[in-house]
Amino acid sequence: MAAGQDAQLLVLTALADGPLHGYAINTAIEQMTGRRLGPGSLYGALTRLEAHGLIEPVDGAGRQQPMRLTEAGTAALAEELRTLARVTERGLRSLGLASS
Amino acid sequence: MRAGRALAAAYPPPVRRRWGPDLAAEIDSSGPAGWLDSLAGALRLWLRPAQWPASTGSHLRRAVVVLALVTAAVTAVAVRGVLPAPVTANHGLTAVGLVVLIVGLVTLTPLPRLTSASIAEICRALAAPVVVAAAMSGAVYLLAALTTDRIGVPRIAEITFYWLTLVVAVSSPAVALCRLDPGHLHVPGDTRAAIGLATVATGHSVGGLAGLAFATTSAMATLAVVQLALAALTLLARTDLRRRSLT
Repeated sequence: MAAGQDAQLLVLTALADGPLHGYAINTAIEQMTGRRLGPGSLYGALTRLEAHGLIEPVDGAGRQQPMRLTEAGTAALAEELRTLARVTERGLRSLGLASS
Repeated sequence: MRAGRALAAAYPPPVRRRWGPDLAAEIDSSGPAGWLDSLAGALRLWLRPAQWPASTGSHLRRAVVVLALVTAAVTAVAVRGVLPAPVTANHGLTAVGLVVLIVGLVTLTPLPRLTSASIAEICRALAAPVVVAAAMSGAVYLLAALTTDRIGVPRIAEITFYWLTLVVAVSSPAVALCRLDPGHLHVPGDTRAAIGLATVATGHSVGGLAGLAFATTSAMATLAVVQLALAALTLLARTDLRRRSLT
């Protein structure tokens, strides 16, 4: 998966819990992966996802702009995660690390 | 100025409007390690205007048209600058590319609305860029007339100032028009924008290929590579624009 798409998947996953603004999205990504996205990668991913209709802005308080998943974004994330789950399961089985 | 605000200023205006304070805070918190990523992100977004947030079809078309106009106009001036005068047969194809580029420029140029309010507003917007360009051009002629046989640093400074003058003269009116209330201009519609962008891309391609084939100086070869890159970017913008207008 290309680095840009990787960042987009992380952003979509972070937003699966509900609307967040940019800094909070990156904090959620840090909790998932152990490292924050660079500013250009994060806001590039947010911009591309919005352009593709996968996320949308919600009314925010103050100067921060929270974003949330759209229906299309939820569907795209579910599809991507199912694919990743199949890949992960196959890889773990091949390595003899699968639980069953 | 803090690094965050300075680097956030490098992003396209619609992106700054949407994310500005968040983006600046993120850049500040990332420290110097995030500066390169920030600049790369800004560059990627400048290259894909169709992805800018909250852009309606007409806003987007206007942004793409102005970007294409500025880059094509600066390139046209640069190409004319590196071509020998008179144009030799070997550079005929480069000259053809230049003509096609100018046709594309004319096709893309926004036309004023013919009302007294719009014309007054356009004149007001263009006044400062025209005065600055005229003053810089005057300084170029004055420098050329007052001194002769410059070598070394003065010569480099003179050439740099000459090119800076050309770039300012070409780009600042376009930027001023871009900032104008869109109600005062007829921005090209989908069809005219598509034709204009295709023509500009063709001009860049012809000029770039001819430059690579017949370049006699390193400046011409460099410009040829730049033109081929601009051709690809212009076609990319055209594709993005068509995709956005269909959604």
